[in-house]
Amino acid sequence: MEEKIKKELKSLLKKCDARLEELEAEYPERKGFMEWLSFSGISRRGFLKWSAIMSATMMLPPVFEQRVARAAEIASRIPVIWLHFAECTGCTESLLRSNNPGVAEIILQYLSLDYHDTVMAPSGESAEKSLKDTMAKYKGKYICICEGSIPTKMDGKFLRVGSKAVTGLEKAKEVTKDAAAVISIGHCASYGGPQASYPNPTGSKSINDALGINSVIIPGCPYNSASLVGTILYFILFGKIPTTKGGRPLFAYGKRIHDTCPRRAHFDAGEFVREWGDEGAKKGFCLYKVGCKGPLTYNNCNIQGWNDDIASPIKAGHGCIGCSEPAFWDRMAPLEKPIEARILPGVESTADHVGWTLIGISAVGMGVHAFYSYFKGKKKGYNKECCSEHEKEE
Amino acid sequence: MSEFKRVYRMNGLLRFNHWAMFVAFIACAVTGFYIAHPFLVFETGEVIDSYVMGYVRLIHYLGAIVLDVILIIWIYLFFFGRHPYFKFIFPLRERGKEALQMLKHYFTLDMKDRPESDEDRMDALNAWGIFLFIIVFKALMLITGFAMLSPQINAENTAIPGGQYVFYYTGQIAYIIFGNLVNIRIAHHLIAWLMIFFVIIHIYIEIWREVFWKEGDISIVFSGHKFLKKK
Ligand code: HEM
Ligand code: HEM
Ligand code: SF4
Repeated sequence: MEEKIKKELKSLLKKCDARLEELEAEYPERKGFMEWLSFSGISRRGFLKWSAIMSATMMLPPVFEQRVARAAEIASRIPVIWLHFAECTGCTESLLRSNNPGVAEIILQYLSLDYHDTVMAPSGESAEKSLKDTMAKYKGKYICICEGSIPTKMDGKFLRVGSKAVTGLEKAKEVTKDAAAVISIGHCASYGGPQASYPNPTGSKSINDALGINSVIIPGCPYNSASLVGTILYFILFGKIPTTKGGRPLFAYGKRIHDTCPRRAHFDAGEFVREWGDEGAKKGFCLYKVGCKGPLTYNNCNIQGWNDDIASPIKAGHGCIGCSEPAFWDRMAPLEKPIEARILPGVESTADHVGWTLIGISAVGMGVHAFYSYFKGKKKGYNKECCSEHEKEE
Repeated sequence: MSEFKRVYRMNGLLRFNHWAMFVAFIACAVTGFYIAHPFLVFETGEVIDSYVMGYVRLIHYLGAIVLDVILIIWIYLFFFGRHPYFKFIFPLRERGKEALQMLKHYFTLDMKDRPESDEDRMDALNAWGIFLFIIVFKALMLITGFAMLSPQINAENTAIPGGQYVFYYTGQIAYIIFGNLVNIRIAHHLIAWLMIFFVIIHIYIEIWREVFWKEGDISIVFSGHKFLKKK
């Protein structure tokens, strides 16, 4: 068994090395990545530490650390086209505004972003041109990252972008056609986002549904940069997307928030925050009673937080809202009450309300039937000591 | 005076099943609603001092295991028991007619309307309308419960080797039926209410039969026997 694993690992490493060499030859070197890192306050040592953490995040053994560092450097050379559709740009913002960016954020900022609506210098016609040029030059080689959902009603006319006012649908089709890989980030691109929640007037759909493709999805509102960088690094190392479940990479979305939560001990102890700002909130108790949806959500916020792993919603003191689960806006609401307070569609009341109504119906029904039986039985002589009366009747 | 004949209706295993189910069901219902609405809040701040939710969930899962084992035994008896239920529980042909007749009887109280049930079987309406529901609901509780449990079960903490796959694949059935974890949880909650609804009706009907039929119906679950009036 052990022998077999060792052999497999060896052949995997060989393949991986060959691929890295190939990529290094293929994409022109970009100078200054390491300088940019040290400019941002990250030493070589810090970078290697990060590579080790990243390998662990991707569930790779320690021998991969060096290779992850190499892949991170290559990642800065691969051309990326970053598209925005119907969304709030919050995913980009969460990346750009990180006060204390970690290596993941820096890599994403330093990515060879050949086209990114928000951060690129050119605009209008010249922006279009740069997109066309990149697509022509790196045909079949660039990575396309999609942010935001695509409105599909009225032929997608709800969303028009760029100087030629093409619809989002057309643009997405055109760009994803020649991409080496498509990654959908954020809840909108992955599942449709709030604009796709009921009644969805614009017919917004996720990238995969709108285009009928099968991209990796990195849901979250915003997504976690570690998950995106991990997916890109994995793609560079092995030439394929990581194992997914329901489209989400398993390394990031394989565990439930509730099972990795720093407040979990308080849940088991029965120590809950009752309302915002109470004694329990100060002591960092479990947020179950104020609507934490951690028990229903798969994500890695508790393992790899934002801002260099300093923050995540639960660490900051608000419950999980389930933003990496499909249709969370519809399903997880109300966000600050337990899931039992959810108004069920169709009956427009909570599950407990339905339950008590059922009990009420049964109580009334049983009461009426009992009285009815009593009087009817009296007439028939049922309540006599023995059955003689109604026996006679028969 | 009419004469009575003592008939055998429930064998020992079924009676044991019934009361084990009774205890486990109540344990599950109480702890389940506690999980949904935990009202005891401890504020010691030292988690080693209390383990309330942990114990409540433990009791829920112990009750659940009992219910699941009973369900499996029940399904076995359903086909291979002394009185194989599958022969008369489905509302086919005369069974459907019997059920309607029984429904009529509950309102006319006329003994002539009561279907001629032979000594070995439950009457059609009771069996069809209530027990099947309780059993089907229990099966749904099992798969939705397993779906909620499966993220916490892995190779290290299962008692049976391969237990994690049992939880995982049973849970996947729930995903196929209900779609996602939120719906599964809500469904678990709703079915809990539905089961309570049916259990209340079940207990009412048993008491009602005891009172109006005067055939000692409730003693079925204690002694296995009831009395039938000789015609
Ligand atoms: C048959 C096997 C059963 C299994 C495996 C099972 C398992 C579970 C699990 C895993 C949870 C979630 C607890 C948590 O996340 O902390 C749960 C919750 C619950 N269970 Fe069960 N359970 C079973 C039967 C029952 C029965 C018979 C009832 C009641 C009649 C019941 C009522 C509930 C309720 C009300 C909840 C709370 C759901 C919510 O939060 O909305 N369960 N159960
Ligand atoms: C005080 C409470 C209860 C009483 C007096 C009672 C009484 C009875 C009786 C007399 C029968 C046999 C009916 C017949 O053969 O015609 C029966 C069967 C049954 N009861 Fe109950 N019951 C009680 C509580 C419950 C509860 C809480 C549950 C469910 C969780 C339940 C589920 C069932 C089922 C499924 C059967 C048929 C199963 C079989 O034959 O194995 N009962 N009960
Ligand atoms: S805060 Fe949320 S995720 Fe954490 S233990 Fe409580 S309910 Fe679970």
